[in-house]
Amino acid sequence: MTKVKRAWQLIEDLFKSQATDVLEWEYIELEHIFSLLVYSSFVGLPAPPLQVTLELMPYLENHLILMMDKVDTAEGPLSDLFSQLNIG
Amino acid sequence: MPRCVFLLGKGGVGKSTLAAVLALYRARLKNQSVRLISLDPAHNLSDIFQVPLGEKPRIIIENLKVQQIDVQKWMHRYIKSASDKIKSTYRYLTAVNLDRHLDILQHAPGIEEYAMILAYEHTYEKYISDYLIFDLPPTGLALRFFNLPQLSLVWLRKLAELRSTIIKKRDLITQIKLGKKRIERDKISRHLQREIDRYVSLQSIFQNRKKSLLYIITNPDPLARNETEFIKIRLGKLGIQPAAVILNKVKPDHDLSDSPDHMQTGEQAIFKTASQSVVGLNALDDFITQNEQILAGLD
Repeated sequence: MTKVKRAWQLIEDLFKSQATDVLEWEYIELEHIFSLLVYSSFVGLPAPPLQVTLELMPYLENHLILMMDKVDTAEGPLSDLFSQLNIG
Repeated sequence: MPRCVFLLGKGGVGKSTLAAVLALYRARLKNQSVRLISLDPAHNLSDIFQVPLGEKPRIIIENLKVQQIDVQKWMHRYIKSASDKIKSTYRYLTAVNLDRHLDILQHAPGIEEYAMILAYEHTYEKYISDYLIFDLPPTGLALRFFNLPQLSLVWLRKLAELRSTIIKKRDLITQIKLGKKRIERDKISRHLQREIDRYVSLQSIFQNRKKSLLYIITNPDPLARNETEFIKIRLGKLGIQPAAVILNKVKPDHDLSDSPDHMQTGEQAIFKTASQSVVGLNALDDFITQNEQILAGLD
């Protein structure tokens, strides 16, 4: 009975993980967009007033790390997308 | 809360003199408690009152205190506090001389008007007076000061909207994975909301005539008049209506029949003055006596 429960739990986790993969990818991409908007002066885009960025900075350490990570995949956005959607 | 009076206009039109006149008139003749504050780096008020002035308020007469805000000092104070917060989060960045990079912020665009906003907020919340009269710097910086809340709100509202989408997405993932909704507070959202509330309150002070009066000071010369028109248009876009356009430095024999329409709308006051400048309490009192009716009309 315990083995059946474990197997059922495993199957449930697997489905849940598959169901949230794309959502998680969307979530991370939205966080990227948020960081990009806050730090847009870094990349020459129209930027919020300086105090808006400065006062958000203490909350955005993880976002800055995410942005740095994003630099690695910036050259191949399509391959990133395809790998998330399990295409190819 | 005190009612604010702002005087703005082209450099040299007599903003500081009229700010001093209005402050003295209200304090002496209306028996109202008045604080006159200069946000103009030119600091003309000490010359007008003929006393040294600084950040510490100085009593000129009963009911009237005058002070000059050092905007540079507010800038440095703000940059230091922002740097300290950033440094405490990004400690590992000290290895790349973070201090040196943050020092350059004092030359960044937008910092000067933000320092003015901070000084204004501090004054508005701290001082108990019937009236706070602000002598503003010349047009460019003064307009950026009034524009900052609106500009910040455009960005903050967009960021808050995006943040809300992010949180909904995150909550959905948590719900699927854990099978229940996890209540997690987002510090960024809370910060954004606090800032939105702050700028909305500032904007409501600037836009509401019961809370603040804005006088545009001008002179009867084409450059000053054109700038007045420009100021009115820019303020109109921010939803701020001037309480009056005050025509200053009009020679007693000056013919105003060639004045453009905005000078004949009836909402402006006209101060006819002799050519000499109004300096010292006696001269200010004389000016008030000569123009008492006009000053009463500005209420």
